[in-house]
Amino acid sequence: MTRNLRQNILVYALLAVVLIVFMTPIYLIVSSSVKPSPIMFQKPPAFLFTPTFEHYHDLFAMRPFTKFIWNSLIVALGSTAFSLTIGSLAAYAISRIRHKRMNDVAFWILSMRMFPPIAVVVPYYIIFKSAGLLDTPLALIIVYSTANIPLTVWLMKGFFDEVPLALEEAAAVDGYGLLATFWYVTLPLAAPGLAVSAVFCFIFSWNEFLFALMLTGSEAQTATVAVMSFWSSDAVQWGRIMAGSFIILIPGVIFVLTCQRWLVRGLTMGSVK
Amino acid sequence: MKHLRTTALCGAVLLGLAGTASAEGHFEGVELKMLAIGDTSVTRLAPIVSEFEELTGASVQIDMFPYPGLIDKIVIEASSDSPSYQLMWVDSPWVGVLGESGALLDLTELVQRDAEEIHLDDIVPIQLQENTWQGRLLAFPASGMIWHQNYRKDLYENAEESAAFEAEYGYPLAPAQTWDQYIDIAQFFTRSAGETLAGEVLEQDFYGNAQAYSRVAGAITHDFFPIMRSYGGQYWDAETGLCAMDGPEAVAAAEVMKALIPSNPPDYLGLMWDIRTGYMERGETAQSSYWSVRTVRLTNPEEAVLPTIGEAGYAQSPTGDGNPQPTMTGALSFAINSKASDVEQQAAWEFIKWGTSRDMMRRFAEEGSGVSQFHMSILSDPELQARYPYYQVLLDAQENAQRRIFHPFYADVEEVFGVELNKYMAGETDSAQDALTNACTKIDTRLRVFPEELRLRWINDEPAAIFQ
Repeated sequence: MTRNLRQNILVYALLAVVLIVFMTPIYLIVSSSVKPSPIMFQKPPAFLFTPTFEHYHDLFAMRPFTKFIWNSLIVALGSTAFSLTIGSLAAYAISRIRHKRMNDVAFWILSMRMFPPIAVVVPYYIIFKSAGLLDTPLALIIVYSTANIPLTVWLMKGFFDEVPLALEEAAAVDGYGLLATFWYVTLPLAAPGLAVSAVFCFIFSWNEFLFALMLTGSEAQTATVAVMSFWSSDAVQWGRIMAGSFIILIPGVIFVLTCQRWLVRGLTMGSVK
Repeated sequence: MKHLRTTALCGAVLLGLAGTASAEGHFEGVELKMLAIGDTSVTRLAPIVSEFEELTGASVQIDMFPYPGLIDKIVIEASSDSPSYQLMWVDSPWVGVLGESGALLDLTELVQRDAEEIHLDDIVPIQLQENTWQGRLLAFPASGMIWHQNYRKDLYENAEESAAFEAEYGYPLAPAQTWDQYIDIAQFFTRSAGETLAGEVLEQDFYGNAQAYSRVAGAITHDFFPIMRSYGGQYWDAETGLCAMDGPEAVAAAEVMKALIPSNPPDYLGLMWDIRTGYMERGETAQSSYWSVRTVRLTNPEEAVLPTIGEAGYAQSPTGDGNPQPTMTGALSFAINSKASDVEQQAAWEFIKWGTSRDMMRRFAEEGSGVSQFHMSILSDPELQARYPYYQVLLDAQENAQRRIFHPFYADVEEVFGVELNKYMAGETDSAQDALTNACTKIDTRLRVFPEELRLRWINDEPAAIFQ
């Protein structure tokens, strides 16, 4: 056996182990979602069984789950779009404006992510109740954006810092104003940063549970809360929870795959000068 | 005389109709929203709320949320002067914290006013007491919970197994009356794959018992407290209002649970309520004690394997010495937001009466729905008893019953004892006494902040005023 072959076997074996570790939860979600309830926790686990789609049927029959997925999409995409818009503009300003207090401003923005969510749930509830926004997707978009904007600002600032000022000066010479320079020159060069920020914002908004639980009713309830509503006092209906979890996985995977091209560039940008 | 009887009969019928019609269309335009969970007490009702809407004119929307976090959502909701939810689903241990915060409407007068209509005398009294705080009835039972034991009747009646048990332990095999017997039975029936059970070679391990030991959501405390109570233990010191769950009865209960570990499924530290009941439902354990809300599954082949491979038996919970001790009960109930408007409160009460009525409960029982019953006439009905053999056990068990914990610090107790007991079962704490002392110390640290007078008020189980 040559040294290369041995190395390849070792590498593939390690990759296989890593793959198993990462894919086991997915396998458990998928298999449990089609496993009949009476054998759900059978020991040893039943690997071979006649699959049933009753959990998926129940999920949609017992709850308006399509509506809840739609709510999740509105909230996640809405917050992502809003956060990218405001966050990239703010990041551009922080990156370009030279002021001795600018670092303090940047830290103040970051500090907004330091609030423990549970500490602000009641104030949010009261504010949205007074504003008539309780149980609306807008309330969640606002709340999630308060967490997503600081993240976007800090991520995008790094990308804008990497864009040479000379390019913007050249654009100015060509007659571009500040916004035009930002839109046509700087932002496209920081596109990988936008992709990274978008993925993080989307995943956070898509998965968030606490605020969605406290600030919504049946109108704006998101899929994560709806899935967990199968945890009742007398039973945790794992089959339905797993069916819902699998469905919840899909949009996130699609979104990440869509952004993947820019994501890889974004994550590696700056690693080599 | 005949005319008199006819007139009296007509009058009674008219009065009855007037009573029934009192709510008909009376709440046109009233919108009710219910903050609930996906519990059977709700999911069975949700698909038929249109019947109530047609009857009263009110509209009803039931929002189902996860059990974890629901109490927090109720508390936040109750802090608003213009509530979004008029109806609340309430677990009976929450009554203390919700009662202390003034979140729930006192139903005493409504219940007394409509006592005849709701067949108050037919409701198991402890189920009403479960929902009482300082004598005020704050919620109305929608599903009763009674702690009892389930066992493999087919195995207990197997001649070979029965004889072997008696030869080994010196007394006949029967549903355990003491926890020592429970441990004996658990040890006796614990078999490995390849061994014989009731004349058949086992393809997989068989367990002597299945109890919950998980710290998640305090699952272990749901098994520990009934055992502690069956030894005569109490939650609180009646003199100080401080934690008493580290006394000899509590230690005995923790040691029983520890002794049961070798007979429990190997993943015992992760067993929550329904994963534990799953072992019984699949017929993989000889006995398991739990709340009656899941017992109905043992009678239904669509929800459990056991009815197709054997037969479940039911008995009251064992006690420390075999002498009677109060059964531990609980209740899953409906309540009204105290901040709702008058007309909303009236409509909400109509909904509660409709959704928890004896007729509705009988309908659920006849349809095979898994609601744990709380009307004596239903639990004692011979036809229903033939279908649900555990009804008589539930009825008998509640003759001498004591309510579940209702202290405003219930959540703390569940969390702290969940962790400390779980650590003891995992071998991280040396003794039961150490684990329980640790837990009580943590609880007392929180309670000592409050004056003794208040602490004593919190543990005062004043009888519901509706009984006076």
